[in-house]
Amino acid sequence: MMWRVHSQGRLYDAGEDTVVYFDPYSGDTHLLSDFAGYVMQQFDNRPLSTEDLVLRLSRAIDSADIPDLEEALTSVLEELVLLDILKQD
Amino acid sequence: MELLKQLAPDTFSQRLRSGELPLRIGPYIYNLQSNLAPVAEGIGTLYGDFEIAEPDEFVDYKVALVCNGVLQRLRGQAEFLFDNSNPFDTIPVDQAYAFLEWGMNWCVSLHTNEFLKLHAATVSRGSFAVIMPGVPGAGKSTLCAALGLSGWRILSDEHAMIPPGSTDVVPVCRPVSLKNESIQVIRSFSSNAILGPLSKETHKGIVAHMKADTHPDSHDARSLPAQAMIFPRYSRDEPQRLSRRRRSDSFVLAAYHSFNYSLLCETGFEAMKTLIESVDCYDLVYHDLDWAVKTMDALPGLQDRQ
Repeated sequence: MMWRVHSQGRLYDAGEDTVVYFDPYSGDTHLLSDFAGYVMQQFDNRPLSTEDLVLRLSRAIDSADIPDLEEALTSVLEELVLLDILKQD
Repeated sequence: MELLKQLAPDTFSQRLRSGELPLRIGPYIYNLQSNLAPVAEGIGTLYGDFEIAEPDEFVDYKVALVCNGVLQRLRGQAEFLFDNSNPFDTIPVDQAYAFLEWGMNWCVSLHTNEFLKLHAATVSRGSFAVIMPGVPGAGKSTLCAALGLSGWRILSDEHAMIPPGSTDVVPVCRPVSLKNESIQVIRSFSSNAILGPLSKETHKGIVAHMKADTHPDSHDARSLPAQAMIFPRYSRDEPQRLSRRRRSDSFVLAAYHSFNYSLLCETGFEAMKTLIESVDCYDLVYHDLDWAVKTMDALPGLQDRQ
Protein backbone atom coordinates (compact mmCIF):
# COMPACT_ATOMS: atom_id res chain seq x y z
CA MET A 1 0.00 0.00 0.00
CA MET A 2 1.43 3.37 -1.04
CA TRP A 3 0.99 6.71 0.65
CA ARG A 4 1.75 10.20 -0.58
CA VAL A 5 1.34 13.76 0.66
CA HIS A 6 -0.80 16.27 -1.23
CA SER A 7 2.00 18.77 -0.83
CA GLN A 8 5.09 18.98 1.30
CA GLY A 9 3.99 20.50 4.59
CA ARG A 10 5.82 22.47 7.22
CA LEU A 11 6.33 21.35 10.78
CA TYR A 12 6.82 23.17 14.04
CA ASP A 13 8.30 20.87 16.65
CA ALA A 14 8.78 22.48 20.06
CA GLY A 15 9.99 19.22 21.59
CA GLU A 16 6.60 18.49 23.14
CA ASP A 17 4.33 15.49 22.64
CA THR A 18 2.43 17.39 19.95
CA VAL A 19 3.67 19.20 16.84
CA VAL A 20 2.10 21.77 14.53
CA TYR A 21 1.77 20.81 10.88
CA PHE A 22 0.90 23.26 8.12
CA ASP A 23 -0.50 21.76 4.93
CA PRO A 24 -0.01 24.11 1.94
CA TYR A 25 -2.45 22.01 -0.11
CA SER A 26 -5.44 22.92 2.09
CA GLY A 27 -4.01 25.86 4.00
CA ASP A 28 -5.00 24.07 7.20
CA THR A 29 -2.90 23.91 10.34
CA HIS A 30 -3.09 20.75 12.42
CA LEU A 31 -2.00 19.82 15.91
CA LEU A 32 -0.59 16.31 15.55
CA SER A 33 0.96 13.83 17.93
CA ASP A 34 4.75 13.84 17.81
CA PHE A 35 4.57 10.36 16.29
CA ALA A 36 2.28 11.57 13.50
CA GLY A 37 4.63 14.49 12.95
CA TYR A 38 7.56 12.11 12.65
CA VAL A 39 5.64 10.04 10.13
CA MET A 40 4.98 13.17 8.06
CA GLN A 41 8.65 14.05 8.13
CA GLN A 42 9.43 10.82 6.28
CA PHE A 43 7.71 12.04 3.15
CA ASP A 44 9.77 14.16 0.82
CA ASN A 45 7.32 14.74 -2.00
CA ARG A 46 7.53 11.08 -2.98
CA PRO A 47 5.28 8.17 -2.14
CA LEU A 48 6.20 5.64 0.50
CA SER A 49 4.85 2.18 1.12
CA THR A 50 3.70 0.98 4.52
CA GLU A 51 6.74 -1.31 4.54
CA ASP A 52 9.08 1.65 3.81
CA LEU A 53 7.57 3.54 6.69
CA VAL A 54 7.79 0.63 9.12
CA LEU A 55 11.42 0.15 8.20
CA ARG A 56 12.29 3.82 8.63
CA LEU A 57 10.42 4.15 11.88
CA SER A 58 11.77 0.95 13.40
CA ARG A 59 15.30 2.30 12.90
CA ALA A 60 14.48 5.50 14.74
CA ILE A 61 11.99 4.52 17.40
CA ASP A 62 12.73 2.37 20.42
CA SER A 63 10.39 -0.61 20.50
CA ALA A 64 9.92 0.01 24.19
CA ASP A 65 8.26 3.33 23.35
CA ILE A 66 5.89 1.87 20.76
CA PRO A 67 5.67 -1.92 21.16
CA ASP A 68 3.42 -2.53 18.15
CA LEU A 69 4.85 -0.10 15.64
CA GLU A 70 2.88 -1.38 12.67
CA GLU A 71 -0.43 -1.08 14.46
CA ALA A 72 0.40 2.41 15.70
CA LEU A 73 1.49 3.42 12.20
CA THR A 74 -1.71 2.09 10.64
CA SER A 75 -3.76 4.09 13.09
CA VAL A 76 -1.80 7.28 12.43
CA LEU A 77 -1.96 6.84 8.66
CA GLU A 78 -5.73 6.49 8.85
CA GLU A 79 -5.90 9.63 10.94
CA LEU A 80 -3.74 11.56 8.46
CA VAL A 81 -5.91 10.43 5.56
CA LEU A 82 -9.01 11.57 7.43
CA LEU A 83 -7.37 14.96 7.92
CA ASP A 84 -6.71 15.02 4.18
CA ILE A 85 -2.99 15.45 4.74
CA LEU A 86 -2.12 12.08 3.21
CA LYS A 87 -3.69 10.16 0.41
CA GLN A 88 -3.57 6.49 -0.27
CA ASP A 89 -2.62 5.29 -3.77
CA MET B 1 4.10 68.67 15.81
CA GLU B 2 0.57 69.65 16.71
CA LEU B 3 -1.60 67.62 19.05
CA LEU B 4 -5.34 67.42 18.72
CA LYS B 5 -5.85 68.99 22.13
CA GLN B 6 -3.93 72.07 20.96
CA LEU B 7 -6.63 72.93 18.47
CA ALA B 8 -9.08 75.61 19.54
CA PRO B 9 -12.52 74.03 20.17
CA ASP B 10 -14.07 75.77 17.16
CA THR B 11 -11.22 74.70 14.91
CA PHE B 12 -11.48 71.09 16.15
CA SER B 13 -15.21 71.07 15.55
CA GLN B 14 -14.91 72.61 12.09
CA ARG B 15 -12.10 70.27 10.99
CA LEU B 16 -13.95 67.20 12.27
CA ARG B 17 -17.15 68.20 10.47
CA SER B 18 -15.33 68.85 7.22
CA GLY B 19 -13.16 65.74 7.40
CA GLU B 20 -9.84 67.48 7.76
CA LEU B 21 -8.60 65.74 10.86
CA PRO B 22 -5.77 63.33 10.01
CA LEU B 23 -4.49 61.66 13.18
CA ARG B 24 -1.30 59.65 13.48
CA ILE B 25 -2.23 56.37 15.17
CA GLY B 26 0.60 53.89 15.36
CA PRO B 27 1.95 53.29 11.85
CA TYR B 28 -1.21 54.66 10.23
CA ILE B 29 -2.93 57.93 9.56
CA TYR B 30 -6.68 57.94 10.03
CA ASN B 31 -8.59 60.88 8.66
CA LEU B 32 -11.71 61.39 10.76
CA GLN B 33 -14.98 63.07 9.92
CA SER B 34 -18.18 63.41 11.90
CA ASN B 35 -21.08 65.78 12.41
CA LEU B 36 -22.25 63.99 15.55
CA ALA B 37 -21.85 65.41 19.04
CA PRO B 38 -21.06 62.08 20.80
CA VAL B 39 -18.33 61.37 18.30
CA ALA B 40 -16.80 64.82 18.72
CA GLU B 41 -16.96 64.38 22.50
CA GLY B 42 -15.31 60.98 22.33
CA ILE B 43 -12.53 62.03 19.99
CA GLY B 44 -11.87 65.16 22.05
CA THR B 45 -11.69 63.13 25.26
CA LEU B 46 -9.76 60.11 24.04
CA TYR B 47 -7.52 61.36 21.23
CA GLY B 48 -6.38 64.73 22.63
CA ASP B 49 -2.76 63.62 22.87
CA PHE B 50 -2.59 62.23 19.35
CA GLU B 51 -0.58 64.06 16.73
CA ILE B 52 -2.30 65.70 13.80
CA ALA B 53 -0.56 64.61 10.60
CA GLU B 54 0.51 67.10 7.97
CA PRO B 55 -2.06 67.80 5.25
CA ASP B 56 0.16 66.37 2.50
CA GLU B 57 0.77 63.03 4.25
CA PHE B 58 -0.77 59.87 2.87
CA VAL B 59 -3.97 58.91 4.63
CA ASP B 60 -4.29 55.17 5.22
CA TYR B 61 -7.88 55.15 6.41
CA LYS B 62 -10.45 57.77 5.60
CA VAL B 63 -13.36 57.17 7.94
CA ALA B 64 -16.51 59.07 8.75
CA LEU B 65 -19.41 58.62 11.13
CA VAL B 66 -22.07 60.95 9.86
CA CYS B 67 -25.75 61.63 9.88
CA ASN B 68 -26.70 62.59 6.33
CA GLY B 69 -29.99 63.91 5.06
CA VAL B 70 -33.36 64.56 6.56
CA LEU B 71 -34.43 60.92 6.85
CA GLN B 72 -31.39 59.88 8.82
CA ARG B 73 -31.81 62.88 11.11
CA LEU B 74 -35.47 62.11 11.71
CA ARG B 75 -34.71 58.47 12.42
CA GLY B 76 -31.70 59.24 14.59
CA GLN B 77 -29.52 57.11 12.36
CA ALA B 78 -25.92 57.53 11.27
CA GLU B 79 -23.61 55.71 8.91
CA PHE B 80 -19.99 54.66 8.94
CA LEU B 81 -18.15 55.54 5.75
CA PHE B 82 -14.84 54.13 4.65
CA ASP B 83 -13.33 55.87 1.65
CA ASN B 84 -16.80 57.33 1.06
CA SER B 85 -18.42 53.90 0.78
CA ASN B 86 -20.80 52.44 3.34
CA PRO B 87 -19.78 48.90 4.28
CA PHE B 88 -22.30 48.54 7.12
CA ASP B 89 -25.95 49.18 7.87
CA THR B 90 -26.92 52.45 9.50
CA ILE B 91 -26.72 52.58 13.27
CA PRO B 92 -28.49 54.61 15.96
CA VAL B 93 -26.77 57.91 16.70
CA ASP B 94 -26.60 56.86 20.37
CA GLN B 95 -24.17 54.10 19.38
CA ALA B 96 -22.09 56.27 17.09
CA TYR B 97 -18.97 56.54 19.18
CA ALA B 98 -18.64 52.80 19.80
CA PHE B 99 -19.27 52.20 16.14
CA LEU B 100 -16.57 54.65 15.12
CA GLU B 101 -14.04 52.73 17.24
CA TRP B 102 -15.20 49.39 15.88
CA GLY B 103 -15.01 50.77 12.38
CA MET B 104 -11.47 51.93 13.00
CA ASN B 105 -10.64 48.42 14.23
CA TRP B 106 -12.24 46.97 11.13
CA CYS B 107 -9.96 49.08 8.93
CA VAL B 108 -6.90 47.39 10.37
CA SER B 109 -8.46 43.94 10.76
CA LEU B 110 -9.46 43.77 7.13
CA HIS B 111 -6.93 45.74 5.17
CA THR B 112 -3.51 45.37 6.68
CA ASN B 113 -1.70 42.21 5.74
CA GLU B 114 1.93 43.23 5.91
CA PHE B 115 1.73 42.05 9.52
CA LEU B 116 0.64 38.84 11.16
CA LYS B 117 -2.33 40.19 13.09
CA LEU B 118 -3.71 38.60 16.23
CA HIS B 119 -6.93 39.59 17.95
CA ALA B 120 -5.13 40.48 21.13
CA ALA B 121 -4.54 43.17 23.67
CA THR B 122 -0.85 44.05 23.80
CA VAL B 123 0.94 45.72 26.67
CA SER B 124 4.52 46.36 27.65
CA ARG B 125 6.73 46.87 30.68
CA GLY B 126 10.15 48.31 30.07
CA SER B 127 11.10 47.35 26.56
CA PHE B 128 9.29 44.03 26.32
CA ALA B 129 5.81 43.35 25.07
CA VAL B 130 3.22 40.86 26.25
CA ILE B 131 0.58 39.63 23.80
CA MET B 132 -2.81 38.67 25.24
CA PRO B 133 -5.06 37.00 22.67
CA GLY B 134 -8.64 36.27 23.57
CA VAL B 135 -12.13 35.84 22.25
CA PRO B 136 -14.59 38.67 23.00
CA GLY B 137 -15.64 38.39 26.62
CA ALA B 138 -12.46 36.65 27.78
CA GLY B 139 -11.53 39.68 29.85
CA LYS B 140 -8.55 40.85 27.86
CA SER B 141 -9.73 44.45 27.50
CA THR B 142 -10.55 44.76 31.19
CA LEU B 143 -7.14 43.40 32.11
CA CYS B 144 -5.50 45.61 29.48
CA ALA B 145 -7.23 48.68 30.93
CA ALA B 146 -6.21 47.76 34.49
CA LEU B 147 -2.61 47.25 33.41
CA GLY B 148 -2.68 50.60 31.63
CA LEU B 149 -3.82 52.17 34.89
CA SER B 150 -1.03 50.40 36.80
CA GLY B 151 2.07 51.60 35.03
CA TRP B 152 2.03 49.33 32.01
CA ARG B 153 2.00 50.77 28.53
CA ILE B 154 -0.92 49.80 26.31
CA LEU B 155 0.28 49.01 22.80
CA SER B 156 -3.15 48.00 21.55
CA ASP B 157 -6.45 46.77 22.90
CA GLU B 158 -7.33 44.96 19.72
CA HIS B 159 -4.42 44.05 17.46
CA ALA B 160 -1.04 42.47 18.00
CA MET B 161 0.74 43.30 14.76
CA ILE B 162 3.91 41.32 14.11
CA PRO B 163 6.07 41.80 11.02
CA PRO B 164 6.70 38.29 9.62
CA GLY B 165 10.14 37.01 10.49
CA SER B 166 10.38 39.07 13.64
CA THR B 167 9.20 38.84 17.22
CA ASP B 168 8.41 42.54 17.36
CA VAL B 169 5.04 44.04 18.15
CA VAL B 170 4.13 47.24 16.34
CA PRO B 171 2.24 49.64 18.62
CA VAL B 172 -1.12 50.88 17.44
CA CYS B 173 -2.43 52.47 20.61
CA ARG B 174 -6.10 53.43 20.59
CA PRO B 175 -8.76 53.57 23.31
CA VAL B 176 -9.66 50.40 25.20
CA SER B 177 -13.16 49.07 24.63
CA LEU B 178 -14.98 48.29 27.87
CA LYS B 179 -18.31 46.55 27.94
CA ASN B 180 -21.12 46.26 30.48
CA GLU B 181 -19.84 45.35 33.99
CA SER B 182 -16.27 46.08 32.96
CA ILE B 183 -17.03 49.79 32.80
CA GLN B 184 -17.84 49.98 36.50
CA VAL B 185 -15.08 47.51 37.35
CA ILE B 186 -12.52 49.85 35.79
CA ARG B 187 -14.08 52.95 37.35
CA SER B 188 -13.77 51.26 40.73
CA PHE B 189 -10.26 50.03 39.97
CA SER B 190 -8.89 53.51 39.43
CA SER B 191 -10.20 57.03 39.57
CA ASN B 192 -7.63 57.90 36.90
CA ALA B 193 -9.55 56.09 34.19
CA ILE B 194 -10.68 58.56 31.52
CA LEU B 195 -13.75 57.29 29.75
CA GLY B 196 -15.46 58.52 26.61
CA PRO B 197 -19.20 58.61 25.93
CA LEU B 198 -21.40 55.64 26.78
CA SER B 199 -22.95 53.82 23.86
CA LYS B 200 -26.06 51.97 25.02
CA GLU B 201 -27.98 49.03 23.61
CA THR B 202 -25.29 48.06 21.15
CA HIS B 203 -25.05 44.43 20.06
CA LYS B 204 -22.40 44.10 22.77
CA GLY B 205 -24.47 45.88 25.41
CA ILE B 206 -23.26 49.10 27.00
CA VAL B 207 -19.88 50.19 25.70
CA ALA B 208 -17.43 52.86 26.83
CA HIS B 209 -13.88 53.46 25.67
CA MET B 210 -10.99 54.31 27.96
CA LYS B 211 -8.15 56.63 27.03
CA ALA B 212 -5.17 54.36 26.47
CA ASP B 213 -2.28 56.70 25.72
CA THR B 214 -1.48 57.75 29.27
CA HIS B 215 2.01 56.25 29.46
CA PRO B 216 4.96 58.56 28.72
CA ASP B 217 5.94 56.34 25.77
CA SER B 218 2.44 55.79 24.42
CA HIS B 219 3.17 57.56 21.14
CA ASP B 220 6.60 56.06 20.57
CA ALA B 221 6.21 54.34 17.20
CA ARG B 222 9.09 51.90 17.67
CA SER B 223 8.19 48.24 17.87
CA LEU B 224 8.98 46.14 20.94
CA PRO B 225 10.04 42.49 21.13
CA ALA B 226 7.41 40.16 22.52
CA GLN B 227 8.46 38.26 25.60
CA ALA B 228 5.28 36.44 26.57
CA MET B 229 1.97 35.36 25.18
CA ILE B 230 -0.77 35.14 27.76
CA PHE B 231 -4.26 33.83 27.18
CA PRO B 232 -6.38 35.63 29.80
CA ARG B 233 -9.74 34.30 30.86
CA TYR B 234 -12.08 35.88 33.35
CA SER B 235 -13.77 33.24 35.50
CA ARG B 236 -15.67 33.93 38.68
CA ASP B 237 -15.83 30.25 39.61
CA GLU B 238 -12.34 28.94 39.03
CA PRO B 239 -9.22 29.37 41.16
CA GLN B 240 -7.02 32.17 39.86
CA ARG B 241 -3.85 30.91 38.28
CA LEU B 242 -1.01 31.64 35.93
CA SER B 243 0.10 28.41 34.31
CA ARG B 244 2.50 27.57 31.53
CA ARG B 245 1.09 26.47 28.21
CA ARG B 246 2.73 24.23 25.67
CA ARG B 247 4.04 26.09 22.66
CA SER B 248 2.42 23.79 20.11
CA ASP B 249 -1.04 24.28 21.65
CA SER B 250 -0.40 27.99 21.92
CA PHE B 251 0.59 28.14 18.26
CA VAL B 252 -2.73 26.67 17.18
CA LEU B 253 -4.75 28.82 19.59
CA ALA B 254 -2.93 31.99 18.51
CA ALA B 255 -3.59 31.07 14.88
CA TYR B 256 -7.27 30.76 15.77
CA HIS B 257 -7.11 34.28 17.21
CA SER B 258 -5.42 35.68 14.11
CA PHE B 259 -7.22 37.86 11.60
CA ASN B 260 -4.99 36.83 8.71
CA TYR B 261 -2.96 33.74 9.61
CA SER B 262 -4.77 31.65 6.98
CA LEU B 263 -4.60 34.38 4.39
CA LEU B 264 -0.83 34.62 4.79
CA CYS B 265 -0.45 30.84 4.20
CA GLU B 266 3.21 29.74 4.54
CA THR B 267 4.24 33.25 5.52
CA GLY B 268 1.70 33.12 8.35
CA PHE B 269 2.95 29.73 9.53
CA GLU B 270 6.57 30.87 9.53
CA ALA B 271 5.68 34.17 11.22
CA MET B 272 3.75 32.38 13.95
CA LYS B 273 6.56 29.86 14.39
CA THR B 274 9.13 32.63 14.80
CA LEU B 275 6.89 34.37 17.33
CA ILE B 276 5.93 31.32 19.38
CA GLU B 277 9.52 30.09 19.56
CA SER B 278 10.54 33.35 21.22
CA VAL B 279 7.79 33.83 23.80
CA ASP B 280 6.81 32.06 26.98
CA CYS B 281 3.16 31.03 26.85
CA TYR B 282 0.70 31.09 29.74
CA ASP B 283 -2.93 30.77 30.69
CA LEU B 284 -4.10 33.44 33.10
CA VAL B 285 -7.41 32.71 34.83
CA TYR B 286 -8.55 35.57 37.02
CA HIS B 287 -11.49 37.25 38.68
CA ASP B 288 -9.68 39.79 40.80
CA LEU B 289 -7.98 42.56 38.83
CA ASP B 290 -5.54 43.47 41.62
CA TRP B 291 -4.36 39.86 41.69
CA ALA B 292 -4.09 39.77 37.91
CA VAL B 293 -2.04 42.96 37.77
CA LYS B 294 0.29 41.77 40.54
CA THR B 295 0.70 38.46 38.74
CA MET B 296 1.56 40.26 35.52
CA ASP B 297 4.00 42.50 37.40
CA ALA B 298 5.77 39.38 38.66
CA LEU B 299 5.74 37.58 35.33
CA PRO B 300 8.66 35.17 35.30
CA GLY B 301 11.54 36.63 33.38
CA LEU B 302 10.03 40.08 32.94
CA GLN B 303 11.91 41.61 35.85
CA ASP B 304 15.24 40.25 34.60
CA ARG B 305 14.72 41.57 31.11
CA GLN B 306 13.70 45.14 31.93
